[in-house]
Amino acid sequence: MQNNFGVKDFVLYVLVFVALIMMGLSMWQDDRRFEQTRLAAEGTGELRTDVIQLSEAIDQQTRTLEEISRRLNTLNSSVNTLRQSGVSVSRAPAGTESPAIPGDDAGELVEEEAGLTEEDFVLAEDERDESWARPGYPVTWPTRYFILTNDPEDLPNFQRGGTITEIFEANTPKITPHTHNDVYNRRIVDDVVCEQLAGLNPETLRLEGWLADAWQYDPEGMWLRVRIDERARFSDGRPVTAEDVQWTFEDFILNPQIEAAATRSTLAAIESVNVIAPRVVEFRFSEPRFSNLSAPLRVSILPKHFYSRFTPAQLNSATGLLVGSGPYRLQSLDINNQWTPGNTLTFVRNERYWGRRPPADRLRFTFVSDNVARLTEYENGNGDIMRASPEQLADRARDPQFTSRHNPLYWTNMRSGYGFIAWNTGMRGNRQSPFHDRRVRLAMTHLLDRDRINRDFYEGIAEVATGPFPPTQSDQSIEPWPYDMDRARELLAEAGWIDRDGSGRLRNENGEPFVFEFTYSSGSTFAEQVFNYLRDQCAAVGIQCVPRITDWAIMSTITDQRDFDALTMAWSWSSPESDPYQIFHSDQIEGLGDNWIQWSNPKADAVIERARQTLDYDERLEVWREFHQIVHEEQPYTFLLNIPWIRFVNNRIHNVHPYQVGIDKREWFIP
Amino acid sequence: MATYVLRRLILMIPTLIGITFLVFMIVALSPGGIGAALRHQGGSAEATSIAAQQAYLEDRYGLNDPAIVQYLRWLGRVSPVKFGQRDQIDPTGAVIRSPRKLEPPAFAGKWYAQGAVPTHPPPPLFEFDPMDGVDERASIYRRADNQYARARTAYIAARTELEEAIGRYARAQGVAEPMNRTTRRLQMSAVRGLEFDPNAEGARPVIEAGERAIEQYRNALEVRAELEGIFNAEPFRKVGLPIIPGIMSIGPPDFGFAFSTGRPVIEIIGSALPITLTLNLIAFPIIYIIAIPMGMLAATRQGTWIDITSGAFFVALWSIPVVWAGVLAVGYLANVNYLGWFPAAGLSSAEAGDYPFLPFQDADGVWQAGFLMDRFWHLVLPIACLVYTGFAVLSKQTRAAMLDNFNSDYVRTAKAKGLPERTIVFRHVFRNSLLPLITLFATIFPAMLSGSVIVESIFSINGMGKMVIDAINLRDRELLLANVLLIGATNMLALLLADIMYALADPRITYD
Repeated sequence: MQNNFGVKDFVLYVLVFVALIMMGLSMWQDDRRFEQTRLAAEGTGELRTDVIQLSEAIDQQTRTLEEISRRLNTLNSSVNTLRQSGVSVSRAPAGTESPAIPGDDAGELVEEEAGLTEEDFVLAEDERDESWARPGYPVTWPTRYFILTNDPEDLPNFQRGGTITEIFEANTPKITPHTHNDVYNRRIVDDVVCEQLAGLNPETLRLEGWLADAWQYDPEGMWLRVRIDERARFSDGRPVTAEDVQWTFEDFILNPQIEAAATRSTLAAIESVNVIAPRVVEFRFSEPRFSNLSAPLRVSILPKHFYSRFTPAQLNSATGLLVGSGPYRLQSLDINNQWTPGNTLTFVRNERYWGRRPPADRLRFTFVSDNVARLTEYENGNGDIMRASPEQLADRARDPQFTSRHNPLYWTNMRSGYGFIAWNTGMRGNRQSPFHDRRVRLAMTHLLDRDRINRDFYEGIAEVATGPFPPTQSDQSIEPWPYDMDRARELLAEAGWIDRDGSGRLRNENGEPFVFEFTYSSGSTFAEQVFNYLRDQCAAVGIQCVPRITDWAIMSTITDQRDFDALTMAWSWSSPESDPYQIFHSDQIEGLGDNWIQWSNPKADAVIERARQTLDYDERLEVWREFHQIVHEEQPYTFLLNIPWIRFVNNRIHNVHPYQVGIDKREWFIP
Repeated sequence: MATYVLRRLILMIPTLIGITFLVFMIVALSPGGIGAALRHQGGSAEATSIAAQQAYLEDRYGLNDPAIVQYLRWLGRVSPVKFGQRDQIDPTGAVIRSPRKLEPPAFAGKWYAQGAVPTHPPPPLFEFDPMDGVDERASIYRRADNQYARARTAYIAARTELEEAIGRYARAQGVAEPMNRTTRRLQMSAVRGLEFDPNAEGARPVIEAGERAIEQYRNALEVRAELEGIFNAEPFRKVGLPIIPGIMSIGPPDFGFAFSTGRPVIEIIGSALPITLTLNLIAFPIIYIIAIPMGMLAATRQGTWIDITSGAFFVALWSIPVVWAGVLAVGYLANVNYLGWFPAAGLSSAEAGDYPFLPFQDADGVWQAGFLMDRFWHLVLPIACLVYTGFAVLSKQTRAAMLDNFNSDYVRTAKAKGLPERTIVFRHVFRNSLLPLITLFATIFPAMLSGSVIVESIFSINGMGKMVIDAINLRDRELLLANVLLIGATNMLALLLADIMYALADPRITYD
């Protein structure tokens, strides 16, 4: 037998195998590098032809010329003023304007003027042209989104450059706009790459003009006319026009072939979108709704010339087709080699950005799903910002070594939410739950020491909730019901729940014991802790509380069928105004709405309807507060905690401020 | 042998159908259903628009049909043998099907629109201009397709309103649950026997909504017929090969799109599978290279300290839970506050995209890892976690099999012949101990494709394990079924392979 397979042969085979693998890998790598070179050479991939590049160059030149002539005008007017008053009132900040006299080198001007300043977004009364508007209706000239609350450029150590990395805790499957509806997709698309017609002021939460510089809203709420800033450009240099807006709505979001059902459902009131002039667009609505103003204004506008070359099927399955007019753009974009989930996402600053240049050169998003690994990656310096759990916050905030290098932040804002216990106030099958009685619900609230829930189960960083609204919408004067066992007993006795046979258990007049089922989702530790606490508290007054633990996916079946006594969950706020209609209006009981607690209160219904018809923001706020008061009195839910946002931010990033909208990354810089 | 293999291969088909059917039914009958999980993703939307969204999903995926019909439809798409009209494929690679037939609204012709329920008109004969290129044909088809999509959506919205009106009417007539709360559609079994009284309360809105729905229905049918006419004119290339023209053809299986993301299933699996394969192709050889020699060593030195300590050590490793070890590894080995030797997550650094392949010197003259080393560096901890539990089983198996053979007659003969110990161990005993290892391989091989959920979640690796778990949580039927098919088929192929290898390894085994 000569086929001896010895150690030498084995080593030989292994070597051959390794060599083959290395060869394969290096070929793959060569492909990759070739791809990179190609992309670098072509800018954003095959999509840009020479013709487009040429037209962009022309656009850029035109813009520069416009810029120069505008500056000249400003200079002229200030010179005039100077002549008249003898005092200089130059409107542009020092250093940017003074050398710009006729005959100066235009090239140098361009270099210095890459990006507009705050002053460019302030329009004087007499500069306001209203010829585009419908006559006879007032025009809104909003403050502009580019005027930052804490402007980094005012700070002494301000500097441009650097990369800011955020670690996400989950993978978004797509970054193609509107085709997937999760919070990461929206944060990337809406805040980084695309722009909306209007944005929210981080502090006051009022609408501010972003792409739009003015709008006109029908006092009846049936139409909305918007004018787009003439300076606005997509990242390939083409102007943002009314046609793009119309296309984004009519042919993209409202096109049933595109899988944008989630975005579409918020815009159901739009009847048509019409181009009035190249930069003026008008929305018509089928019914007046209070959200008619903000809903269309806050949709990311897409470039028609880019997206219209794809079929709906291509757009639906695309993972990384993302082009907009925002401050950053994808580093490389190629339909045949898109970003796919799981990979790091890198955005570079859009050097053609028409608005104010953001300080950081690049934004990067990485994905780490495991809690421990995420914190480790962050502490290792591979991320500048991450979302932390309450336990991580409590643990790290006590560690001076950590706090010297990192900034642990937590605050309640309009994007956080609230945890609650929902009481089924109607019928469950054929049985009336004990919670149909307001006194019983109120007693349950009195039974719970919510400060203690906050302290023991949420590290004391949350706030006790009083109602379903974010801080901006709620009535701040309402005090939470106190923890009061005696009052709870009293209320239960009033409602007929008394210990009738000395067994210690509460019974009603028919002799039925007070037993209820408490439903919660198996994944949540907080819910489990709340249950254990509630069960003990209930036992103390003679109520039996039975657990029912379910899978999260089954929760919706349970609520749809109204098949529960009590359950705990959390709702999140997503905008400065939460509409309580779907959760608390009695219309939503009969059908399949989200009023699964089957709470019906004519007074509350009337208030909700009134608020929905009130088009003025401040007036509406008053009505919402009235509703908050009713909910507080009636306690259809026991509101537990307003759950804050928790973020760790590396100290190397300056000018980080928590706001009502969350955080404003446009203000961040790395000195 | 050949007949045996062929028979086994043919038997795989009913087995696979059985497996997918079971999984399909479990998903279809699980509480919440598919629609519910999709709806959860959307977060909070207004209830009326949720209904519209639901209707859209049902229409797109046919979720409202009986489960068995849905399964057969899926099977038809996946099966390489197709019946009926052949699909077409457009230049972007999307499969185009003849538009599905629409169903009339509930109680049409009975409660309202008496005798005036429109039927599907025959598709008009459409012919493309022979001068039209692919692009013109595609754009004509797409325009018609878009029009039909809009007409159908309008019809579904009208139908939803009608069904809600009927629901209200039925409730007024004393039907307790006229609507199915999960699908948000009319429960036909509950309302079928209902008598309609045009003068009763709530009847008027039903008739009005019905007339509106019929109007939209008629319009949708017309637009649909037009689209069908264009489809019949074959704007695109047909898929597959005809066997009996018009009746049977052979085409590539179509796994469809994942519900949760809308991406093609093949693409999702295609991006996860290489990652899992890389991990396992490195991990399994490591296990084999360490475990088998250790098993042999333990067998030849039975009862010595090597045997005892290696056995104890491997069993000790085997009993450490991976979750715990993984978290410890991340916490101590990857955290810069402790050792910080390895990266904590992912498969490459954020900057790796800009690296050259091999290690290189950067501008400051410092050596940097390069793409390849960076990738290997990231693989160390996950692979360590995959590997350490595997030694015990394999080495014990080897040891037991070898010991079995050490006591047999032929070894005694070989020893008596004066053969050196090495030859006996390697050439005779080890060869004969391979049988149980082959069995083991058959069970391990499919595991290479399914991935490890725990390791993948701890180290944020998007492999097969994590993908399957997500698919299950979201009730992503298409993705799940494609996976079941893939793993089921590999399992059966691996078993078949093991059986063939038995015959090769042991001449006493035949299958004829």
